[in-house]
Amino acid sequence: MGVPSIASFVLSLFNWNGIGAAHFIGLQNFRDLFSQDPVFVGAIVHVLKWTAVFLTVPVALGLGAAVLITRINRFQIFYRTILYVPVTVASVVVGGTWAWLMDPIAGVNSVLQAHGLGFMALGWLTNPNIALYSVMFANVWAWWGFLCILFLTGLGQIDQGLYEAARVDGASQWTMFRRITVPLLRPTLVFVGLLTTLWSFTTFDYPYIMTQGGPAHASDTLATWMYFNLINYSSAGYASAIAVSTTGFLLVVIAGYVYTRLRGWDV
Amino acid sequence: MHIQENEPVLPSPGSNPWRKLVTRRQVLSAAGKGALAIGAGGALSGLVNSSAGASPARAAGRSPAASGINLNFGIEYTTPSPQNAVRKIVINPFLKAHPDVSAINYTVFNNAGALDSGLKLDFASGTGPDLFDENGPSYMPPFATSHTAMELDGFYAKYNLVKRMFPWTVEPNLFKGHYYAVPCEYEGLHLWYNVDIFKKYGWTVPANYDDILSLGKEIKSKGLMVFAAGFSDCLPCWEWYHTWALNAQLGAKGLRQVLTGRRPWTDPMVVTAMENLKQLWDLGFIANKDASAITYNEHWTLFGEGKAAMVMEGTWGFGGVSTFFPHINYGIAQLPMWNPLVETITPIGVGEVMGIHAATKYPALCEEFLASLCAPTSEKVASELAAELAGIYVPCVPISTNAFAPGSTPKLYPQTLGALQKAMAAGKCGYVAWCSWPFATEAYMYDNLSSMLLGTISVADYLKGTQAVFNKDKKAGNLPTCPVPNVTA
Repeated sequence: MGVPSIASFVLSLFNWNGIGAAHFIGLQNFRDLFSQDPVFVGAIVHVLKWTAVFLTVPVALGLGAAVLITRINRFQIFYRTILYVPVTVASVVVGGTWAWLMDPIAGVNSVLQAHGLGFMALGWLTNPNIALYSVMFANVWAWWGFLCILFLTGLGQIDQGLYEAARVDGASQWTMFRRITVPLLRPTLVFVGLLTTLWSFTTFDYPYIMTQGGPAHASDTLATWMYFNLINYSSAGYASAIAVSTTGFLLVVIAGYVYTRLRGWDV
Repeated sequence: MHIQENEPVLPSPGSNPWRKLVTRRQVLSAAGKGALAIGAGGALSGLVNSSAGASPARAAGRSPAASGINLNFGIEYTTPSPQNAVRKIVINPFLKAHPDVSAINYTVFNNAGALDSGLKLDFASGTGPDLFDENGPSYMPPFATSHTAMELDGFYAKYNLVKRMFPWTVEPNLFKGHYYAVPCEYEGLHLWYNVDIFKKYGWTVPANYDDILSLGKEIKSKGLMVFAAGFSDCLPCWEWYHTWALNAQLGAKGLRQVLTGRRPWTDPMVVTAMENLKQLWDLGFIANKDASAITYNEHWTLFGEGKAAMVMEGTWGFGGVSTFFPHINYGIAQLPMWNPLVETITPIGVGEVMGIHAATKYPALCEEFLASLCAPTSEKVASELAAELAGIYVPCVPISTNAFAPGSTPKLYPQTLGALQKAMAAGKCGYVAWCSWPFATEAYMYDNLSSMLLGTISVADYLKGTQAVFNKDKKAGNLPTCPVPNVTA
């Protein structure tokens, strides 16, 4: 892991088109990135939005479903399986399917228009103000089942005696959730939060499959922009600078996590 | 100008096994790109990828040669039909004439993007095929400057290619005074229209910008799409539209001035071209503004099912339209010029070039093979290639009408090739982005065109950005050679 990481950092200091001689340019790639590249800045904003959405929507869905499932005695395995199925499907299939459903010609829009609901037919993947959220929606659909399983595992670790004691004391469901479930799930929640943040910053598959980062770079992420710089622009050094910058952002997140642990917070 | 079926050029050959909706210039498929990303990751993380072109995983059609010379031929076409067609028409006769060569093996890259990046990875790691295909002259400078592509000046002289091939296709391959690639396919952009729809409503094919505006409104009033277009799986395909705009507004002379750096990209004429293009977009004429989410195949479907009245398409489109929509009564016409002061031209460029790996052990054999594939001396072979590999490998040599078997090519294909040959012979040609734009400038323009059309950046900023990238290209000496057109304006 060390060698390619170091090589990536070294390459980020060069101007290299992927073949032939590489020219050392110091930190110029980074200067260009942060001062002259609106797509890169836009990609940072997009991954921050992505992180915010994925730290809330799928977590809420997964936790809510997990709590509900633990209360079901019959067919629990069935529900667990159903929720987990999307996780097992390749992202290229899920992304491709949702892209088709959001297709302006053949997707749900055609059905809406056929039933007099044309006003609801939005440019899911063609409107720059909507495209990123459409891609997020598809990814959330595939992702939240995984979180649900994680939360189910965490909930299984909680001593049921605590809930029984709380019930005897007259605690409401909401009180038990706040005072027992959430605190005891904290390690799982922190793990999910860390994992979500790391994956959000490096997300590639759904934006690439569904929109190729478009339209008008409206759904570009750091990873897609890195990829396009390498493939379309043949700027391997510049793409490496994006990769190194992404790693830098994530190191800040990891440092925050380590700091909280060092401060004694049990996560 | 319409392409007429009775036009006395290029009759027709056999069926086209390469018929596919997805052309070289189309979709960078998700799976293929995904695989390429893994390779790219290797490049990012260490500049080292030793898998190279000769790896068994990439080789296709390899026959186990007991002894003798094996040549590896890097191509981007994954389906058996084009591979078999080349094998039948070129490789097998070549092997027969060269008993010392045991086999010519395909090293297959998944698509156009994988081809370019895969070759770079292979060559950077010291491997790679002996001969290789590339996406056009714009893509060759990195291979020339890195000395991984063999200089072909001697090859051109030996086979008299400058005289035998169309100058319009040869000159773009000149890089800093030397040849590093040989053209093996030419293509032009045309206006395709649905004849039945036009007849039904009494429309005539637009001849200028005003015609497009008035006809477009008519078409939309009938609930039809004006131009079918789909780039969701082919980001570079956006360049077809700015190629059209710039040729139509500036003409060949004006555009050449821009491409050679004698007129800036911020010139008022270029601004007008882009503003006119944006106007067409804003009016919803280009795929109802949905082009970024429509696939290449869908855009053909829209045209094929009569939901779109017109499509702006290259000659590579013949494969798809004849296979999937043989019933369409389509017509083909000259792309309308937008500026009445410039001479009518057809944008024509080289879509495929071939190079030789500088490290090959068999340069003479590679040259001979390239000559037989790209510039066959036999008109029969040339016409077979042009017919069976329509839009893929079309030898850039004159092919007469009588060389084709009648009735076996897609409708209007021979006539269209003939019109392109005629235009090239007369020098009445415009330029296409993938042939005459420098590499980074080309990438910047197609990558940001949708931003300009959707208004997230202004026309001025788009062209300012283009100029900045062009300046870098020019400074690096990456400007392709632009042939001089034979036009008055």
